[in-house]
Amino acid sequence: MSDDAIAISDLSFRWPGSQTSLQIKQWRLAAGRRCYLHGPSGSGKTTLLNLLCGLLLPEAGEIRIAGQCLNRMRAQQRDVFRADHIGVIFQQFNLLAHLTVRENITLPLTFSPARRARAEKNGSRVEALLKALELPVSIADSPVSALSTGQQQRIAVARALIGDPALIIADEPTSALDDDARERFLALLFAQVEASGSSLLFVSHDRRLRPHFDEVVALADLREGA
Amino acid sequence: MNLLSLGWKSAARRRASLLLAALSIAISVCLILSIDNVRQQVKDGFMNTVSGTDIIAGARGGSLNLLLYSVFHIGDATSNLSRQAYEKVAALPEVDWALPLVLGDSHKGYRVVGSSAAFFTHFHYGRNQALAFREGGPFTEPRTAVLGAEVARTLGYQSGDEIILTHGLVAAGFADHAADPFRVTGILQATGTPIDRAVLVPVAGLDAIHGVMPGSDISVSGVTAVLIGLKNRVMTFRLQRQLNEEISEPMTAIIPGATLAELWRLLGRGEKILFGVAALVFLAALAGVVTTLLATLNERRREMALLRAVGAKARHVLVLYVFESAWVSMLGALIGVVLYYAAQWLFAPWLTQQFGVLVEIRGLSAGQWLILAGVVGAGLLSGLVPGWLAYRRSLQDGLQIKY
Repeated sequence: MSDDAIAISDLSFRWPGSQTSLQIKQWRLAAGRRCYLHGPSGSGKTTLLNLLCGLLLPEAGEIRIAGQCLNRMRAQQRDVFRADHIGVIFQQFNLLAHLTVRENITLPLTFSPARRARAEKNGSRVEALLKALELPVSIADSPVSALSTGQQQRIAVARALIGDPALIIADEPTSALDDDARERFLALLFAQVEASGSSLLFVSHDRRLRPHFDEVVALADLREGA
Repeated sequence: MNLLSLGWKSAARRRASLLLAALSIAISVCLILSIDNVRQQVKDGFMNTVSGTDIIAGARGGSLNLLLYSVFHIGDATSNLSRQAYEKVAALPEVDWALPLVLGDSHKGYRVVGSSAAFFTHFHYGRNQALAFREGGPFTEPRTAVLGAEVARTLGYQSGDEIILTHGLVAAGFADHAADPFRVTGILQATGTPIDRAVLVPVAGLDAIHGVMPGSDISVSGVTAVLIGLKNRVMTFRLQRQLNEEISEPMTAIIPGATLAELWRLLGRGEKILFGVAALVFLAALAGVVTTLLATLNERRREMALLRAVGAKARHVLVLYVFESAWVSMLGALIGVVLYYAAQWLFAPWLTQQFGVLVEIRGLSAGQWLILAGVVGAGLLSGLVPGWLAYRRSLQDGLQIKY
């Protein structure tokens, strides 16, 4: 089934010199679905994200993103693939302080001509994204340092979404936000993910957010033998 | 936006520390170029202490010794050439001009050099430059003298002043020719050669004062050395051999350029030490650049992880670092060259006045271009160290954003 946003089978990964390994027998996330992934600290969430982004390679097994097998690619191909098909939102400090809002949002296009072409075709331009994320269009060419954390996280969303990548990976993006900002952030994120047709993998500790998602997955359940 | 403009904008944020790194390279570049220049000019100056003179002849002895006393006025001749020998040499058909040099007297520690008035036309130094007068003109009568620049400056003489010569090299003493003062007719401009420290008088004047010294058996019966200019320089070696084989009176003849080169080989070790010091200064500056870039490793760790997350390849991280060290060292080299010329322009007149060192402002030599290329190349390579560390780290960090 090549339509799946994520398809993992018989995955096995171990950090060099480490006893514990991450093993996932089977996991699929269908395209367009919003998945909530949770697990205690140190359970391997970040490792899984690195594997999904192609920054780490599994010892065995297969990882497919949008139908393409990551572990058959060379490192550079994986980098290009990531630029083309994956948008990442971090917990905080998402933006480069020496760039303007516009430069931060278009950063992935620097490394992906394909995504740039897509962004231009779909008209997902910076101004449209800012408007959709309820940010003033006037900030497009100002430095990011003056913005609030909530605004910075929304700009990170715009950066992840520009050029409509197949998969958005968000690593605890709301943990630095207060309650009101969190609700608003989530609503805007969902609206944009839906509009672009991307799938969303959302890693969080915050149980209150669960009801908003299509799927809720505990990493412990994914791991074999757990 | 491309990778390099990304790197540029990132650098703009850290410009203070990067400019300091560039400045430390600039200072060492300036220092290396200056040392190289001084080294070259000192060597050139040394090799051109005398120019236009084809052969120097003196009584039989060592050739280095002859060079030292005739050109540098250091030490003494063991014996003189006879007046007849001088006249015989001067009359040889190959000889265009011959300047007698009579040494032995001094004035307040400065050597007195007796010669003929033709000295001021034929004695050249540097790139075939003639002696120039700061004031006055050549000596005319027997009891007149021309002072080198340093003599006049240190002792505060002007044209028209009268000076007393001393027999031998004692600064002052019983052997003063006190009854026979010499009138200063002119003062030479600084040349950066031993002439600056010489008192030039006509041979006739020396003959006169020595002739009248009461109770002395010394009379100037000959000359200490002869500077010879040839009609045709092709004859140089033949005449040198001819003079060396002269049997009527034992003689040593040298070609100044060859003997100067021989002397430089003995003295020139200092130049290698100077250059070694300059190279060490540069290494220190380079270490400064590496340190500056290494210090940014942590600062830029998040930046690199972010770039990786949005699709940058691991080698882009390396490129960003090398790009930075490359432009920092290029900027440093550029500022260094500007400083180098500014320093020369500022200090050249002062160096000439104070030390009699002529600093000629020249374009960059091939060697200096090579130094600059080496600086930029080494700077570029120095970016590889932090670049490689950042590259390794970005592979390990993956999506972990550390700060």
